[in-house]
Amino acid sequence: MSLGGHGEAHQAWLWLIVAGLFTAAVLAGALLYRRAARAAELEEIDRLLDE
Amino acid sequence: MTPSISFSMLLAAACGRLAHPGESAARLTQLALTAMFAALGLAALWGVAVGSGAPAVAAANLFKVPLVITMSALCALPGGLLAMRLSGAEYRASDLALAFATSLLGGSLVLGALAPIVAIYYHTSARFGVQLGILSVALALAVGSFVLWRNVAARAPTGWRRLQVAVPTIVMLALFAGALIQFVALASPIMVEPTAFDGGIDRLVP
Repeated sequence: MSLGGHGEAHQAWLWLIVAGLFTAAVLAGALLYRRAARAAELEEIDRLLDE
Repeated sequence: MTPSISFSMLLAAACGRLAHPGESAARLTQLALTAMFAALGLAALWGVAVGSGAPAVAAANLFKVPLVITMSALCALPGGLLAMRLSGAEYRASDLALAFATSLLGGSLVLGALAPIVAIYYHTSARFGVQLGILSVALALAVGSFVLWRNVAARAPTGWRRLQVAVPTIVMLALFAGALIQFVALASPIMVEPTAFDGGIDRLVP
């Protein structure tokens, strides 16, 4: 079934783009998590040094 | 060493006991992303349960259901941030992102908890299998909406009016629901049997 009357090929391309965006978002999330974890760790070290 | 984020911390966040107000943006981001990834894992579990009638659909749902939730959330978040800014609130973007991520976790916890019952009904009832799958999504949306409302209100600065909490919450929920309908249609079949949601908004609103 095609959505919005655009045809099967259009929907297949759209699906491919959305799947690519999702994969990119998950990878970006994983990278952001690593950066945030490192920043939080540095903040914790700073806090311990201050004490 | 920064303490890692445990499942009980995620549950506490979903229950409205969010991190300390003075918590750094890095820690909030870490918590929000952990909640988001946990939500996607639970949603994938539900996807396997509703697609268990056909092994290929169940396997595809491991990717499709997290995709539908992530993409709908990404469509809703900018609108929510804009609504928050326009309402004139001094509210950190990371706070709103955390409230949104924990609401997704709240909804996905419902999906994960109902996944076994959805699977057993799917295989043993011709009348209620699909309905229970759709009902579990409706329940997850209701719980997610409630958690979002409560968590946005919990992080709101003192002196905030009820309307200032309501505007970004309603905008995000409306955008999330609108995007969800179309992404579900794009990703269909998520369930083995055809449903009214397979045709998107065109079929739902004749």
